[in-house]
Amino acid sequence: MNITLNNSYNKKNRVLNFFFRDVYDGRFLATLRIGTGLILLSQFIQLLPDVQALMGENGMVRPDLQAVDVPAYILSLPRLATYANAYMHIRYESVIYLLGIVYAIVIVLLTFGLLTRINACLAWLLHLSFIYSAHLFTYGVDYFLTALLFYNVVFPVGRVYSIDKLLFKYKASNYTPYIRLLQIHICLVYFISGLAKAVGTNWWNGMSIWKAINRPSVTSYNIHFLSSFEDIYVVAGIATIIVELFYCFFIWNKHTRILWLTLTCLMHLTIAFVLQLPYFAAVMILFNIVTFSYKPKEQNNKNTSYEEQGLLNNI
Amino acid sequence: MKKLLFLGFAAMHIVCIVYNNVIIEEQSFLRFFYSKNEPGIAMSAISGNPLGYNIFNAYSKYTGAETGFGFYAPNVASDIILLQTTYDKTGSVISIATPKFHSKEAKIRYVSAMGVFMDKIDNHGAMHQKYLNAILKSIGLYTFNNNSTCRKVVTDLLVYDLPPANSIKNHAHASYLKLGHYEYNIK
Repeated sequence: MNITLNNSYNKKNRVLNFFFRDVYDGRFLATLRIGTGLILLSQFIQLLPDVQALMGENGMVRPDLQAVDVPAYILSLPRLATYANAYMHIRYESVIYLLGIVYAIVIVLLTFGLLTRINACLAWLLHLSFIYSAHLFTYGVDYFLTALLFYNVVFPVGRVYSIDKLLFKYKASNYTPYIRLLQIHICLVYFISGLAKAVGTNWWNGMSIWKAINRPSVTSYNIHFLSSFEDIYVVAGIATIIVELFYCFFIWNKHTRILWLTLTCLMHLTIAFVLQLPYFAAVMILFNIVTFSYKPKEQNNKNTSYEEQGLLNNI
Repeated sequence: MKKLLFLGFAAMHIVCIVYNNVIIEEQSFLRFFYSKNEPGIAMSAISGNPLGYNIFNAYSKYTGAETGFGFYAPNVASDIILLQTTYDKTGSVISIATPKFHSKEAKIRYVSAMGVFMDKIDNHGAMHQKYLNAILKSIGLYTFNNNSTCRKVVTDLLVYDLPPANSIKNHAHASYLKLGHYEYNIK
């Protein structure tokens, strides 16, 4: 009985220790805010010339068709435009441009950290509105950016390296709980991704890599002469599974963390160049930098008190 | 109390992320390995409770917890190519091309959107087929709007079929399988 009580007390203590022991400073929050802002801004500028095609009233896929799967609780552009037209007689295209200007401004303000929470909230809602207005034209990066914007809203990202910090006096705070949630999130990302790949056969026999590099949308040249290197595709496929599946084990150990972080970032850089998905790679590399590139305070200060307790290896 | 609230939020958020991925992965595995389009066990378990399902869905959409992490798993999908042949009023071909964009990012999004036509291969019901045809028609209309001389658009929906590397080495060839052929005219 005593042993059981002791065990559950220890487990509870370990969870509390993991989340709430003050071991990280707030630099990761600044990286999260500035990185998210820069990626959103760059993506926004790149997409500007194609806004009409992707979400315009006379766009490639009409707004009413794109809105078919969008639930009522999402305030997408067609809904906003209906209200704007009914109450203020503003045209659909004008609503897009107006919201586009507001979006760009709030992203810049979020990046600099001025009225951070308000601007993070506005950026998050406008981002959701835009992606659900061009619902068919979305891909993984949009959903990851939604998640990062959500974290920008709920975490105190404006307290570090921001204009807000110069204007308002913030009390010292424990930022560790926030990085812990991000760390668990990213571990889930790679574990699920690795597991899903490992269950099928195509990532083990190289077929997935072969198909990925040969997609007509990726390469306009015939690269079938590369079929002689099939062993390379097998190795690349298995390496991808290993890096993803074992991320959540090796990233927590201080001896293997740098190696795994490097391997993961290299994998994403390869995706950026080979599959031509630069924004997806940028978001994932940012997520990795935010979560695991910062050393805990004790390691920075070379304070060995936690090492003596054998706790630091688990941080 | 604050700590407890944070732990509660973190636990709920993580459960949402995991459950969404169980749903997504189960669906994609059923579809890929068994060609089934019915909801899996995870989906059925939650959709049985409409209120809970709506709250779960809304939370997932707003927080990004609905993101599926099985990038390109279990299989890299084949590219769908939408080839449009445009004709002028005399019936001469103006161009044979895929839709054009100014930025690379928009092109990536367009390629991702074409993935929806994979549903033309599986049986997703007559209503869904009508929806896909409406999208194709909308793309055709967009081409008319952007080319004043165009009087007819012929759309061919193709799927790129790539044999394995060792088959290519043994002189097999990649091919484009036709999923559909659609004609739109302006009178």
